[in-house]
Amino acid sequence: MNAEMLKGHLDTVILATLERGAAHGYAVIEEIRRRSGGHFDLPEGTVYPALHRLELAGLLASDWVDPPAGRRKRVYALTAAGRDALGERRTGWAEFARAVGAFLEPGSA
Amino acid sequence: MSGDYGRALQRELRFDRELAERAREDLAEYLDEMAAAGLDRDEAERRFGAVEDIARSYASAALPARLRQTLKAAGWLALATFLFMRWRSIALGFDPFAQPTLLSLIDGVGFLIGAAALIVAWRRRSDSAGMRAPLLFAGAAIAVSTGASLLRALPALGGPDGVLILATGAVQLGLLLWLAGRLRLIGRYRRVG
Repeated sequence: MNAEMLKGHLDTVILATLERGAAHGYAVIEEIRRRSGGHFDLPEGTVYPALHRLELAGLLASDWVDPPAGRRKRVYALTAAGRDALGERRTGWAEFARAVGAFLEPGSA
Repeated sequence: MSGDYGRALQRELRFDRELAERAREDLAEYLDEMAAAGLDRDEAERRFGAVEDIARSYASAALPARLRQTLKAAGWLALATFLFMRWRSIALGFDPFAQPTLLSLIDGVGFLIGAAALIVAWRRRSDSAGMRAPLLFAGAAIAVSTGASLLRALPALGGPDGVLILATGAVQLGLLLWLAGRLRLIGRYRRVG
């Protein structure tokens, strides 16, 4: 999947990634890479502004955490509004995928 | 923190110090993690993305929130304009039933147009692209109304209310200049984003 195709869905992917628990920016990037099997070909730096956008929209909250070793990290977590938004996006995506799938099935014409 | 790459990113986002600082922190975290994973800096920067693309993403991410802040500020400006306009009318004994003059018409109608444009901007608050034009229009209309209101009060400047006229005028002009600065800044976000 190229960056352009993923662009409109990046926020949803991030919300889904953080559904499993709070994480810092680089951990989100790694998790996206792992769960997509490396298929999402996007500049990794674009994840950080997306995290910032979701935070400004109130869907994520962030807090600084000092690890036992190394630099302190900004850790992001879903807010209640973020969970609701993810639920809505999940439903929307399922409907969209079903509708497009109806066209792409062999012999669907 | 990367040298050239980090500086270039800061330069692209220099119009918003807070955003530039956020980008600096994010890049530092990323480069630290990549260095810990054994990747060299050039490769890490390549994977982070082109500076212009990353700056564009940050500007686009911040734009809706900055527009909402500006809308809120414009609302306070409109409220201050209305209260000061009313106060000057009462203090200076302007007769609301008298034949309107050109200045009183510009004062009142300009404010109403500005308030209407603000309502349009508020209704478009979820559409960043559509919100800026009514905000600009509201700012211009309120500026014209403020100018007319102050010109109406000008003859009373030497009287007992002169200081208060000057003070309210200064507050309104200050708010207008601040709003103009915010709107100009939003233009920068749009150019980068």
